[in-house]
Amino acid sequence: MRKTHALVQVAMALLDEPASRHWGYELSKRSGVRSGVLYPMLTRMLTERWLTDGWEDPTTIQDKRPPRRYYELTSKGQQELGAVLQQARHDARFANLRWRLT
Amino acid sequence: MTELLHTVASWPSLLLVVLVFGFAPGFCLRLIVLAYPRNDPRRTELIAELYAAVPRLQRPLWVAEQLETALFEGLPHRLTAVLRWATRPHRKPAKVLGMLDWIRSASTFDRRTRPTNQLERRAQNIRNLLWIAGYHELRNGARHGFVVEYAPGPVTYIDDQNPEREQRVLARIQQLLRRCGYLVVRDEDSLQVTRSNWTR
Repeated sequence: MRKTHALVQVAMALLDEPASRHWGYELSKRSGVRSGVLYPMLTRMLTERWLTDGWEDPTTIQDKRPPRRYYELTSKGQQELGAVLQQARHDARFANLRWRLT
Repeated sequence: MTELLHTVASWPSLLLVVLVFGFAPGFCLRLIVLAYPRNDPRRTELIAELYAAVPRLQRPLWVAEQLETALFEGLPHRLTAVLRWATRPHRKPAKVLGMLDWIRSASTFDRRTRPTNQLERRAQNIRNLLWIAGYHELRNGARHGFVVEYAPGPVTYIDDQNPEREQRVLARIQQLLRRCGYLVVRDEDSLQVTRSNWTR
């Protein structure tokens, strides 16, 4: 996967809480990546098996809406995204993100 | 100042706000997600996100973002899927015997169940075709007491009260069966169905 600012930002957001469930909209807000970029990226991560997905339990939903989809990091995803962040720390292109990488 | 307050609090403004922040985002998003392929989980995901997570004030812009993504990502996949379906090399064979018994008569025909769009798209076998034809063409006929009968060999549809309808129904079934690769010979009130040109 190509290393872009968006990927690094999403990687940071995912690795902030590597064991928890991530929801699309919240991930977009926390990473600062707009949803039009985020969702295709999540789909690619699913294809690469960096993430797994699942659906909210419908019995827990109180509103009248479909269940939400969540994403969880796999161990492979943690390694790969960790490596992405490691490389980004030494890459001049991501200098403006370094304050978040440390 | 009073005029400004009056304008803001007027009925047209209120209606506009309801439309832009209440009705339009959900409505537009439901149209937008149709650009994704039928089994794409993004369809459900985006609708759920809209109602569960996106604050009401941000919904119009968020939906606009989804339009952009759907046009560039969903639509090509959708078109590819349609093309793949239309140009698939061969279809699976169907068992003619037994399937025709499935819809035996007007009395057993389930008129409450509508065939799904998915079934229509996968109209690969005679059972599906008869279901579709039965729903779209025979439903009203059966309700009014017309004779609807299927036999293993020929497909028969008799409508003494409305010969025009009879011909129309037979033509429709014939068209559907031929599209599926069956060889269909039409008699006066029946279709002789064989599988001779089933595989290409």
